[in-house]
Amino acid sequence: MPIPIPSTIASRRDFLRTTSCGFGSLALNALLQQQATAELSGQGKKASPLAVKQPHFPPKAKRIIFLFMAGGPSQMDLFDHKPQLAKRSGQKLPYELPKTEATVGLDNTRLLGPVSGFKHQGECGLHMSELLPHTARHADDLCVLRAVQADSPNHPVAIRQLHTGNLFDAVPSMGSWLSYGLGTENQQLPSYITILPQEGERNFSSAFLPAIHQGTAIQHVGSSPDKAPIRHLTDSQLPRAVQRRRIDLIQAMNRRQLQRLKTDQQMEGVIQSFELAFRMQTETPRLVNFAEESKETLDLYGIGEKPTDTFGRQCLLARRFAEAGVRFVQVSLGGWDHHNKIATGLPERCAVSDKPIAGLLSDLKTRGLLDDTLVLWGGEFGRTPHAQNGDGREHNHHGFTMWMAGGGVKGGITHGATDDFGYYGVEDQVHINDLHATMLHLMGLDHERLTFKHHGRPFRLTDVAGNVVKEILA
Amino acid sequence: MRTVNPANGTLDANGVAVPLRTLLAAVVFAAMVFISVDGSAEEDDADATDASGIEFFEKRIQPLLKQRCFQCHSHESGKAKGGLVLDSRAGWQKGGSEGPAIVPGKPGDSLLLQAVRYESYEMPPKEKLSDGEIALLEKWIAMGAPDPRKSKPPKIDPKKLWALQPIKQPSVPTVKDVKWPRDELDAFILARLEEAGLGPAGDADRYTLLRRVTFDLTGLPPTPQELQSFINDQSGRAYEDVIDRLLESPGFGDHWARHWFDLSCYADLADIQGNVLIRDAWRYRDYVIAAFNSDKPLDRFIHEQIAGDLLPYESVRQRREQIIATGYLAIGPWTLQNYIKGQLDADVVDHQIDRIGRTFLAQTISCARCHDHKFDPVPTRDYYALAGIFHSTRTTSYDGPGVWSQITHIDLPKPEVAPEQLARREQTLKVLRSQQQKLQAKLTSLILGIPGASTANVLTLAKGIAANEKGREYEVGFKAAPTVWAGASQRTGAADGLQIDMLRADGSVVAGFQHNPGLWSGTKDTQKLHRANFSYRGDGTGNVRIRVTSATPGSGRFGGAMDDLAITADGKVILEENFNQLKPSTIEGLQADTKLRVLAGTTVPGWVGAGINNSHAVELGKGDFAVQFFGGNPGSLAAAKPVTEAGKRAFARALKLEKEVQGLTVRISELDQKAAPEKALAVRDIDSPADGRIYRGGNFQSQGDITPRGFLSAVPVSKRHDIPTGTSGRLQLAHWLTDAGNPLTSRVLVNRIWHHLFGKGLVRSVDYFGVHGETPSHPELLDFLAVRLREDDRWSLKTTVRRMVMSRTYRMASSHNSRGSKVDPDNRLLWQMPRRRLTAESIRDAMLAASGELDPARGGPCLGLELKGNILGAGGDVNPANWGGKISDDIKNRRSVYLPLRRERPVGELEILSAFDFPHPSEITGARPNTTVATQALFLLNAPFVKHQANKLAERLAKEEPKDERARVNRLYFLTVNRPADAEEVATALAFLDQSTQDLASISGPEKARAVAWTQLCHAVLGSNSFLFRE
Repeated sequence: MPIPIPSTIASRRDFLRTTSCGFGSLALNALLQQQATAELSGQGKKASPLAVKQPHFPPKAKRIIFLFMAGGPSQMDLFDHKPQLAKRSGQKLPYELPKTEATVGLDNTRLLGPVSGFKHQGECGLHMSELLPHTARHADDLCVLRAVQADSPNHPVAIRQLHTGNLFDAVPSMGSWLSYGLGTENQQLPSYITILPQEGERNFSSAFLPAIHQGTAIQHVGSSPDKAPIRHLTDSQLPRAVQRRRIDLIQAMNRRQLQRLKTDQQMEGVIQSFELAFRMQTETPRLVNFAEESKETLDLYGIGEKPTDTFGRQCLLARRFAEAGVRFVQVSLGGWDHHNKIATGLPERCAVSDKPIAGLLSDLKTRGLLDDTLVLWGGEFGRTPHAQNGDGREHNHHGFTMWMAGGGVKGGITHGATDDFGYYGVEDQVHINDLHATMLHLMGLDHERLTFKHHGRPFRLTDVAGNVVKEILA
Repeated sequence: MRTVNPANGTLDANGVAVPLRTLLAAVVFAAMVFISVDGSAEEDDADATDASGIEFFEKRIQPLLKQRCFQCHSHESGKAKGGLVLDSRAGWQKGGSEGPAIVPGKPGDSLLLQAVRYESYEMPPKEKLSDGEIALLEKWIAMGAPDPRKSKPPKIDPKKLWALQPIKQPSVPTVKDVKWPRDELDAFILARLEEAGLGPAGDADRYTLLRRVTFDLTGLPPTPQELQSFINDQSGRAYEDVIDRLLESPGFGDHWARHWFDLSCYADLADIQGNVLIRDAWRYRDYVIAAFNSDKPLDRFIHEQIAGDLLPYESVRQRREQIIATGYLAIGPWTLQNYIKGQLDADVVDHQIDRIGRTFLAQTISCARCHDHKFDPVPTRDYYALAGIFHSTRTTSYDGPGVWSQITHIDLPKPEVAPEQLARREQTLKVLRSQQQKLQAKLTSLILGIPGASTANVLTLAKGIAANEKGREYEVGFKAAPTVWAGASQRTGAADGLQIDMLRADGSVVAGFQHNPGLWSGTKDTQKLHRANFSYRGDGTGNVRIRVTSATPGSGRFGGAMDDLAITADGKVILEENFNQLKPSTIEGLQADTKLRVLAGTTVPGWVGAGINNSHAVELGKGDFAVQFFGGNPGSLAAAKPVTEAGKRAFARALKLEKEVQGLTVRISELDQKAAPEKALAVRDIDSPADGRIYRGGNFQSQGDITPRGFLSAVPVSKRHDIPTGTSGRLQLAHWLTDAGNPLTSRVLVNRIWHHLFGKGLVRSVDYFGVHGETPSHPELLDFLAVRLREDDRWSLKTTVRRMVMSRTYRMASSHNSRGSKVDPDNRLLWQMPRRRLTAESIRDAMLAASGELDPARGGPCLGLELKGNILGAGGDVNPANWGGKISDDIKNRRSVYLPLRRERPVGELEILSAFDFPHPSEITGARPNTTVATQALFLLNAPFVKHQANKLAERLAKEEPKDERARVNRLYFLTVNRPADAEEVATALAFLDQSTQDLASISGPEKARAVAWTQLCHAVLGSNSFLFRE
């Protein structure tokens, strides 16, 4: 007897339910449950690897939104006010350059004063650049880390360290670690999403963690239906009914084969993966569609106006994913690598990003999400107080600024300091490993206990280092 | 003096009996404090050798530490709380997270003492030391903390680690079912199954078996003809003949080389960002494929890859091959743009050690880079013994400027070329060169005819200027700086530059300014040029003329435009020159290949060749002039925008001519390249190989003792492999790896072969045989196979593979067995042949094979550098050239192994590999992960590649079985799942076709709808498990 080929979703469900030998209905159940898995594990069935897991201790934050400013925003021009630098702009360097670093364009370099004015903002009086008027309204929410340190002045290496804790080896990204450690609250969506990634695929890879924990890239944020937000999400050239029929045929063939073979875990997994793929095809377009957002909300993010439209969309999408229960959402913006003409390049980037970021913070707050959402802003390193090519700045990993806001951190404070010029971190330095340890801590995870055994030894996000920065915890 | 915490009582108050020696010690202590005051306690080594001090330590202190501290602070306990260990001198010297635990001679400054006094930390946390014990410690520290203990040797006794045991030839076990085994290996498998009360699965059917062995040996599916002939072949040798055919087919090398590349991190591009092109990587790829196809013995294969350049040779061909083989070491994920070169070198060496350690020895030697291996017998000194070998080997180099290092290209000795062929090439070159010269002359005169435009190698301002008063200081500079000399990414040759001279009437030089001869990078010199003023003192010899020329013949690597030269004296402008007056001329023999071109009223591209783009162009107003200068290769005139009609026409002609000239230039350079030596990405010994230093904590800036080069001390070998002076030691390393006594290499390799044929290794952790790795499921079998590989089969891969696939075990079905899955759910005993998903490459290649699109061409370059725009960036020496990512249509349907591999996840044509667990080309991956995720389903459903192959497959089927749709379904099954379709499958397919045709009819009409429905059917089958898995 030929296998019946159901032509509608309803009948397909019936079909799976009635004809399967267990796995089909299991897969379907998993899909239909919003809060999956408690029941599943209770029944002694294998819980989904993305099922919500208990943290090590009560968390302060449930999810993270990481605003990654690729290229290395200049700390002296944005958050780390240096009167000495302004005063001595154009003078010879009062400090030594590291001898082990090869350089370009630094012959006879001079100090370069800040390219924008600074103002005290908020009740806390946070000293920040006039280039960020919108973000300034959230000064009292920001926890500014002024002496973050990384181990490399090279983009790809430092980006990898920021995302994975490791300079060279392929190890899991922090989003993957969180997904692995905590699971995710919405089984219809990936646990880890990166919106218009600038970080390179390796930096949202799950490496040796199960592949389910890898980041899923959103590659389009525009409203055009032709451009699938997730790669290969749909086939725009083919009627949906035909696409569906094809999935059904594949599933029928796979199921029949499995009946013959009795059992094969991986083949069962493939059948489930097609089901999940199908759900993603319906869920994702709904989430990336802003039709249900109010005009006020769109305006808040600067959507529909220049130059904030694209980044505003990214930020709003981040809020929507966070709200939907995605564990880790990254939003990336490139173009901060100002080797030349920083006096024009930096204001341009600020204009693109300031309003959307402030909009995101406001929106999260209004919706009561900021309390348990940790927002992190920053690049893979900062920039030098001295000029490169006369009017730009070189990379600086010795001391730079990142900020956090929301879930579990003190607002309106600064932590750490660089020297008088903003080159080297000199006080309360926060190494990337410390940053990661702190982020995990806020999410309820002990960075020393979140491990995965690989090649015969346990691995962690923080490798063999990392201290929680207790001073910034609320 | 300290105070005793009353809560803990005092000696007396506690009423604890104090051992006599403690009291005595306290007395002695009082005396010793004074002794140590006179400074001798400052440095430690003197005290450490003091016999009485050592005695004191050994008798009093060591037992105390052991009893009260080691539980949390020693290798013995495996704990180093707070990072502190107290079981060696180095342990407390380095200390924990707070720094050194003890300051010899200064008890008050010693954290340890503060801690045991409960002043800072409270240690030991459970029970405070007695005052007597504390006094002992205080005394010992005051003495200068004599401590003779060296760092603890790793605690694992190598003798106990199974993998380090010498290999013994095991006897073949006896089995009950004597008829079942075909090969000795079967007896080992069967004996264990019988022991567990299990039996082997039945033999696989012929379709399944042929699909399995064809994929396993060549990575491709069997063709319908191959299937048919195997099914029909009733001879007893049918299967054996198939094996021999497969082993002889080139597909064997294609497929097994890919297994090797998983370990050797092969990619066609370099640097961590994965886009720096390596033109010659393919030579190494083809070498490996050829080595497997010619069944080069594996020991020889190892020697050549590690030390091929140091091996003797009998022919140019052999020499070339052996140099190319060292690409094994040269190709890797080097961070060429790392600013910190010491770190880059250390990382390259680390990766090489890691690669060799895991690939051949299944050891994680790299762990010992920073500290003695935590559990395996690999001390740090062994790591640096190996590091010395690789630091004595040149892999990358840096000679500035800029931040990029270079990979090592080595000239390959030229293959013998017939003299007449050489002569022919010379003749052709001569003809081409003369044509080129003629056309160039025509072009020059044409440009000279353009109003306001000129080209020449010298420009002179004909009119003399009164700027030569005796003793007066004149400043020459640019009012508007030249826009660009070279991009930040450019670097000139040794003496490129511009020369500006002030000439007397007779042509002799009053003063001259040579801009920046020597090596320079664009950014730097743009800056210099901003300050490019020079000054001269007049000598009163009359008016001077300005001459602009190039400093030396150009290398073609710089260019730019300049404008508005000015001469000032005492702040007063004497001349403002916008080059209207400059007259071109040519001086025979002078700087013949450098051109200066004056362009009027145009937008002058600074440089329109590779490297500098038009963003560097200078905008000129109408009637304004600029000098454009460039080296041997002037790029194109296309970007110039003449103002007048005549100018436009002339430019159009010039453009055409220039194109011809360029065409000739390309042909000439191609021929030149043929004559130039071919290069290989390879390594060589540095000029003075030497032992290296230990990097403390893996930090290259903290160098410790010199460590003699050598190998792993815990691995037994049959003889010494001393490294002769003046060589790196790679050759000795290669021989050490394949030494008859080395128990690791043969075990590791044979386990890898097993892994690829049986799905899992006998040791499942194929890259790690250490303490925390897995133990072999069949230890005797592993040793039996290792001995057979090394001795009987003389390291022959093909023989080993042949024996394995001929075995009865390999030929088992993958059928279900409820007892088996209960007793041995992981199938470790092999009661069935494991089923598994095809490798990523096989999925792609099999789709191409099914659709008929697979291109059988093999080998050669793959980056398509001849494609327009495929070489990005300067390609100079400061920034290396990047790859544009285009894959030529000529190769895009070849097997996956022949397509260019980025040093990142594959994209574009090879995206399918990323979807199906293709390993990252920077990771050493003996066993690929095998994941199942929704993105794979999405790929199979919607990726253009799959759609395209489904479409081609449907077209092929329509052609091959035009009439009978049932036969067509059957053909589809033959081509994809490599067996006939059963009745139910045919019926399902036809039902699907009918329904889909209906769905589609309204959109595309019935005729076309049927064709699209067929594409959909093909697509579904390509996405099904029957296609994706092999049983």
